[in-house]
Amino acid sequence: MSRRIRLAIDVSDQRAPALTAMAARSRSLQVCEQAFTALVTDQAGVAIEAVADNKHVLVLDPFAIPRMERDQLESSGRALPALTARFQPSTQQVKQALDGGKLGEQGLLRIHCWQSSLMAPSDSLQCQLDLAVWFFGQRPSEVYGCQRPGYVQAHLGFRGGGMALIDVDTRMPDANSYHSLSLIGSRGAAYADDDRNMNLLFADDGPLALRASQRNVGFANMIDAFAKGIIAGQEFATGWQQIESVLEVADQVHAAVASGRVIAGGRDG
Amino acid sequence: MAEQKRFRALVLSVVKHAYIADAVASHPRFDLVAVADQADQPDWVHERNLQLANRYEIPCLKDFQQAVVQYHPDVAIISSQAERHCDLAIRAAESGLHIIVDKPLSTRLAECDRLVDTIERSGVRSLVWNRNFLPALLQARQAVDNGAVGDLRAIHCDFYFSKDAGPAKGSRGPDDPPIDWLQRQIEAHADGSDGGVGIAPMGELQVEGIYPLAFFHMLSGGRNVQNVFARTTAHFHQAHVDNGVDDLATVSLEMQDGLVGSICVGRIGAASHPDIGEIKLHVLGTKGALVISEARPEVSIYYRGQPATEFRSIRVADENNDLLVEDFANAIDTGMPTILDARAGRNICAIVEASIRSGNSGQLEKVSVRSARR
Repeated sequence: MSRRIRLAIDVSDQRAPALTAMAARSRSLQVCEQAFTALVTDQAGVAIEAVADNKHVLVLDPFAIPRMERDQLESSGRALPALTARFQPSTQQVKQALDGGKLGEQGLLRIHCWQSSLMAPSDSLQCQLDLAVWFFGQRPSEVYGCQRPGYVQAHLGFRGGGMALIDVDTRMPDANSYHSLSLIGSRGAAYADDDRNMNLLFADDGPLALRASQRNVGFANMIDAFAKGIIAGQEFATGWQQIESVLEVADQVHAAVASGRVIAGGRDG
Repeated sequence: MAEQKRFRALVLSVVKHAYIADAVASHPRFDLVAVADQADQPDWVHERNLQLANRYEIPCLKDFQQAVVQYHPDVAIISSQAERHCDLAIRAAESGLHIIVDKPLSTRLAECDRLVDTIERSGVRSLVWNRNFLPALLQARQAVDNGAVGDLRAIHCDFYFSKDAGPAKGSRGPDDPPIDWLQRQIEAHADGSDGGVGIAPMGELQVEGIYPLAFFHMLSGGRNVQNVFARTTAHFHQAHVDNGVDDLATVSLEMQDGLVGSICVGRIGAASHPDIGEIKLHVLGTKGALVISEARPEVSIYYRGQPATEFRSIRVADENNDLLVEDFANAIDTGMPTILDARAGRNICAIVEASIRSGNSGQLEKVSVRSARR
């Protein structure tokens, strides 16, 4: 029987039960509180202590971690930033179709990410920018953005003609959210859109749309990838380099917003 | 109740599809009286004019002025090559005819200005063909107008047509000559994939950009677009590559009163969508949001042996053409503007022009707005 990784969950918010439940389904993991060798946490200090103790750590909300702590985690080689948005089942299907050549060359990535949230839209934007850089496999060569209260829009241009348009809104009415991702390639297109995944409830107030939830399968995918990475001896530091790239793009969006100008992209753009 | 005036309609060139002429002909207040064009047009233009004339059993002339004198039209329907739209419309307006113009209004902003000047001087009504009366758009308009989403904050539209346009990009041999734009459009007429009929090549922004921008015009109450940033590329089709025009474009828009928005426009190819294409509107307001699929309502039909080229979903209850013609008739009756008049069409042309400029410059570009009668 193959070795199972002893995993602890130390997450300070409402995600903890879902993460624990999803980790418990993994054949590679044994969820425990003591004598663990791997950890999932959303606290940079806890993560740094754990890697110092030679544990592997999956670090949630990596874009929110200050630079100095990010550097420490990167240099440990044992901490993996959790790029949660990549692991949504619908997003994974689109990426697999792209990587499998079904869609041809990337042409246009369009994302609407609308939430009811106290977060600044620019913070939510980072995860979506990560998707853009991930899908195109490069940083943008041109960055433009505009911002309004509770709202930000990023418009990216990539070498070879590719483009991405992303908008994030945080002022949806209570408990509402909407996500739409479409990728137009030279040979095909993929549409991962909440609009296509709504069921109907007929109630006293008239029909209501009910989103067919992807539940917590994204967490399961993410934890599974973490476990496989540990078993395969994967180099986790590259994940932090991707975080730096995305944060630089986010800075460029802010610079474009502040200046009202198009910003030239970074080193690989 | 007094009987409403019936309008005599002259078809002034019909080299594109005959959808406007057909829509006008089917309206109870309009009669097609003749087809006319300029004598110096090539044979294929006259052949298409004659086909329509024969179908409706009306005369076909090669002299516009003669048609005006002989058949006393009230209205001209202009569906020529794109670069002739404005010139023909100006001739018609100068003769006192109300005009319906196919899209795009023009490929040149100066021509649009000349047309708007003429129309405003002559006092005729004008309508630029659009899709603003599709059921889904009427629903969106109602939701915005009744305050369901509050004040508008952002408005976005994806407008992807899943038509092909000749050989795929990169599919031709190194010794193949560049594809001639007009020749391809003429040949593509039979299967309906002639997307930009004109002598000068036109990208998708020029050909289809009017539709999403007309949505914005209607939903925003005619707010002007002030600045644009655009990315444009030829991503799918060799004809677009060879002729240096876009088949995929994204535009960020900054409008009056802080409203922002964007459009994505693409001729994404038949393989990329099971039906006519993904056409969606996303609207954010201070009180809520709207996601509107332009295709709805639709019915899906699947069957054994179904041709690959047949759409699986069919739009139903589409009264767009009837309502556009009705709107035009009302405008003539009342002197009120149509849902998309020449001035609004001119401003859309200015947005498209600025977007193409931005796509080339890589910079934010100002839109030349014409907001009031000069």
